[in-house]
Amino acid sequence: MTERQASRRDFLAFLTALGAQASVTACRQTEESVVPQVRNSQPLTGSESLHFATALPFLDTALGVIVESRDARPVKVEGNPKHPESLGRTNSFAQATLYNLYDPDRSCGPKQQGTSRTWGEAQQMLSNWAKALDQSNGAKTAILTDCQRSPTMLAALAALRKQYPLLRVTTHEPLEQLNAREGASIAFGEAYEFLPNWGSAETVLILDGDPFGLEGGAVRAAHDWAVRPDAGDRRTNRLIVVESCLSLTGSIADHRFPCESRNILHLVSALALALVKQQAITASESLLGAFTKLVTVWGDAKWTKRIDVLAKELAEKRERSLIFVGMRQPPLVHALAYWLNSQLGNLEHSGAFWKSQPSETGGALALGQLATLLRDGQVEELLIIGTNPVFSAPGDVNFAGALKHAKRSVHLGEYYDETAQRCAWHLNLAHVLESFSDVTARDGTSSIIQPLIAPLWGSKTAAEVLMHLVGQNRSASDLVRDTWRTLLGADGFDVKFRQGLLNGTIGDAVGAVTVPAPDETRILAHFAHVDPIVPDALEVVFVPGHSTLDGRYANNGWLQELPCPITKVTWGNPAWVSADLARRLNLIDGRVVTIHANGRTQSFPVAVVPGQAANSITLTLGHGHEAFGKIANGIGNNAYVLCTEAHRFMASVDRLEVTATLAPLARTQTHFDDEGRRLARESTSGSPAAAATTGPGNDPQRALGPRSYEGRAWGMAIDLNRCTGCSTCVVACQVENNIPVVGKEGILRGRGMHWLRVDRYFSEHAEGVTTMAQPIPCQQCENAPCETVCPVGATAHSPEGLNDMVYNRCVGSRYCANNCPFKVRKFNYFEYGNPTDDLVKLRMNPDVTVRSRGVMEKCTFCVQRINDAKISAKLHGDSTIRDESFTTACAQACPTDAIVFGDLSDPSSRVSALRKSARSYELLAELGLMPRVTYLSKIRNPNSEM
Amino acid sequence: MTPHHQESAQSVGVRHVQTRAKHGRPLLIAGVVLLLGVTCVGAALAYYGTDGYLRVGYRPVQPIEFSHKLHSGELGLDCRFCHTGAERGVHANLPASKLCMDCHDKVLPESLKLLPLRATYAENRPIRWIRVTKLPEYTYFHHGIHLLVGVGCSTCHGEVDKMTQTEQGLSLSMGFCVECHRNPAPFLRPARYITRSDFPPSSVNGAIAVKAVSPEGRVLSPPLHCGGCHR
Repeated sequence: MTERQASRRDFLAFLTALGAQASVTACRQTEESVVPQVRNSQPLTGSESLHFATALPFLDTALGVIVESRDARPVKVEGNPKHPESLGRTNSFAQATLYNLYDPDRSCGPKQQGTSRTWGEAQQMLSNWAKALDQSNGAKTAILTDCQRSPTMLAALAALRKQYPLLRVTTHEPLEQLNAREGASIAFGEAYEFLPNWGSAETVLILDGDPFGLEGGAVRAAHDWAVRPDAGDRRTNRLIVVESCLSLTGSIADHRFPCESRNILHLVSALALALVKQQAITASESLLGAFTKLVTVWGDAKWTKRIDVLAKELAEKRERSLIFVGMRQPPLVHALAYWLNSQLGNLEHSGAFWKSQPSETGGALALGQLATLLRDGQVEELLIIGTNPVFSAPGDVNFAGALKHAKRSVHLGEYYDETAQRCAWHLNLAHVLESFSDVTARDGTSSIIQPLIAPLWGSKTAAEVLMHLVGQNRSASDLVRDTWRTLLGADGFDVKFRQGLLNGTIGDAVGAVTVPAPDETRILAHFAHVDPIVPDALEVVFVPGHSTLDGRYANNGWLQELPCPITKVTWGNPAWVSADLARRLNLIDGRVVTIHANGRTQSFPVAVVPGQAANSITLTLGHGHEAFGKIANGIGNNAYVLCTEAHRFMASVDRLEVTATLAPLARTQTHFDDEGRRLARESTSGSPAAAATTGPGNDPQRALGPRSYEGRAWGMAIDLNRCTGCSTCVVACQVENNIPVVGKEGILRGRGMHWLRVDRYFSEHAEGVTTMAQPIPCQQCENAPCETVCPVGATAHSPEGLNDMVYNRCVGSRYCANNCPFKVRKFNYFEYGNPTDDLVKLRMNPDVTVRSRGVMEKCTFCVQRINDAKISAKLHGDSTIRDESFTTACAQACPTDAIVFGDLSDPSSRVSALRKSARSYELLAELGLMPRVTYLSKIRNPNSEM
Repeated sequence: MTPHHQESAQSVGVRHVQTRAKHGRPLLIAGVVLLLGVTCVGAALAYYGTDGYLRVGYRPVQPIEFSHKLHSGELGLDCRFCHTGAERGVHANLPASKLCMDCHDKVLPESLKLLPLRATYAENRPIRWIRVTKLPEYTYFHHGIHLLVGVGCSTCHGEVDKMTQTEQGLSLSMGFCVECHRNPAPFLRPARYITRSDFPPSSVNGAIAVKAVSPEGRVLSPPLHCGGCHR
């Protein structure tokens, strides 16, 4: 009885508590503030987007971009159609640079020996230094900077040298085109930059290079090569690539042959001999002798016939062909290529030369020399701008040790990185999107870099800091205006400057120059320095990281999660090995090996990559940071350790040890065979129809039935003939749609969130490996299998053909993803995307919902852009939307215009025309899904004799 | 009987009771859970299912006691005089303090009610108003297109020019929006009457117009698919 009474009392108490709780939670939602402006300083009523032209320096060139600004901050980067290096397109680094701007790990202020300081104190330090420099005239001072293509920076450096004549200025840029420039020096006597005219060359032989992938002008180069509007369904050009590891350029080639990087010189010699034999070119006796000596040493029989055919083709296409050498090849190979091109008459027609920009170093000091000067005490004061030599210096330089000897060291950089932590002072450098500066591209086009937002952390540009050292306390915008007032003249300057800010290009482009004929004697002299070949020896080749470049993007989550276009590996840099080597040493993916080269040691997990030259191991640079940011630290291994100054890009392996450790590779794709489903199709030029099979899917009319659509019908066509697999579209989609980063663990579990992915397929032949890349967005099927199985109706078909995804209705059953044959639906297993950091919130696109845990998401054909376009059209009084007046983020970013989006109900739209092409086909047409996305098969243009 | 037996007799009785309670206990728990469940669902419905959740009548206290009744009603200022972005922009914005100061520089210069305005303006700080009309963050509402086709201000915001303190007059639930999207014509007005709060509501005929036409003859296509508002 007592129990019952107690239970009733407890029960009543429980109810009361519950009731009280219910009433408490029935409060209003949290109050939200609306904060208008004080004075209408900008013509904003809120959430309008403004667009500003600026430029992003990239390797040895610059990409002109137009940045969208919302609520007075940058949210998206697009290409600038008026800039010759961009033509309205971008690359993955340009898209991802926004992440770095809003990176919480970025340096927030000056530091002295780890203690935070104000800029006032930093400026005091700089003034004191200026006074000291006045006394010494810069005798014991050196400036180490990254590659400078900014006229204002160069002017500042010139001012410094004028005031302190004994000052030393030198450059450290790991991916500088040193070998190409030296090759030009050997051939022509002076350093030149060669810009190929990819649009006009008909046969191109690329030796160990990646001009359409990871070299500076790749956006323009890939565009010029791939976009041939008059060609229709034929190919008018031919690409032959010889390389040690698969690159993007190699992956789209008509012929692609693996060859160890160290053997390229011998291959070129054999090619020269073949050309001489065919009487296409002439060479002196001594040069012929040098070639013969190299060829006999190499003696690879399977190449003999190939080289003959190659020589024949190059000779036939003289003046319309091109031999291009990659940046990692030694200068002699570059010189020989210039010589061969010159002999074949290619130099005048297939490209143009520019004088190498007078960098302040003038080739003065190598990094190793600077380190020696530091150790000897001849340099006591060091200013490091924008570069991270402690991380990226070749392993034999030991810059960290040299830095210890400096009496005064100041680092100016965006992150408190490895170098910053070893300097006495660190000053935070402004990110490019918050800088006022300028930059000159390879072809001499200059652009003003204008900030999209005031510096978030009070940072300064490099030019401002340099001018402090000459005692001038001037703002960056004043410095830039001064530079251009000098260059453009004071007459009408204001108008010209504003025009430059508006257009994205300013001033006249520096003109191309003619070069003298290559000097055979100088070339011959360099044959003496060739390393002897050890047959069957392993070599290690260093390539730029597809995601980190040279290491500067290592803390960029978007880029770390971007799969390598070839191996689909994320979050790390495995060593690429050939299947042959893997068989010999019993290696599997993820097996950790220790590489001994140049007397140094480093360990890497292994990735077995098709198409790898048998004795070549590829290492990507830029991973393995210890002190850079939360994302970068501890990811991958530092490949710079194995480089030496003499062997920056290629080295021979002394020893390879296989350890017992397995470090799993975080791949987004582990299966590279399409199992006969003919997903990525190709054909040979002249018979494109063979590629697109007949069948229900290929009927262009069928796509718009049996459902009837009044009004618009959105569709997309992806041309596999143009796609290089660069994955810029993937990053663009991620930026536009607030797609989260899941991290390495997430990728290992297959929980990557990319809405758009690029699939890769390899097929092995006797000759080697061919490969295809295929971007897969949501196919927006008309008979969508995902729509019928949603238990709550969170995905529905719109009257314009889109498969709408309603996040707030989704309960997370994941049946839709289960039913999708293309696996384009992604589920938020955890709270990946919802940022808690205020700075990270700034990076979100305000037009797209930020998804929470438990919600499915997928490609929407950028429905926010579609809705925006429709509303804008109505607001302007005209409901018709011009074809391509807007497009999806992926289509806008693609350098080669491979993705075309538009209205299928409009017969004059580009996408309608592409859909009717003989090359057009659907994926998995036999399922009857009627996707709105069609693909155009790739056309290869092989030489039948090769 | 021994006391033990007596006990046992009692214990028999107790056991008897316990036996009933043994079946009864799970029943009791089930009953409690059911009641709790019903209470929870009831509470949830009472909260989420009624206008209480939808903030009808939500009237927050603003940093400055701005009266629409005075400015729009008595003084007759048009809505768009201050809310300049409403006509074509995505959001109907609140005006910059400068707009208020354009008048109040000279009007009521010594009013204490206007002290926050003058103080923040002098210090170049914005006024932090509390938002009254707010749609959920998973909806994307374009203000300008609605005004363009002829939706009046009072249709969604209520009779603001009669409010001394701004409150949310209508539910603005999804049903509220869809009702109009399915059959817009009865809810629209000619452009010149948009800001009038006394425009009489049309009767809803019940017939659903497939191709709705606005009073000016503009063909309307308000989205009814999910992607039109939820993206």
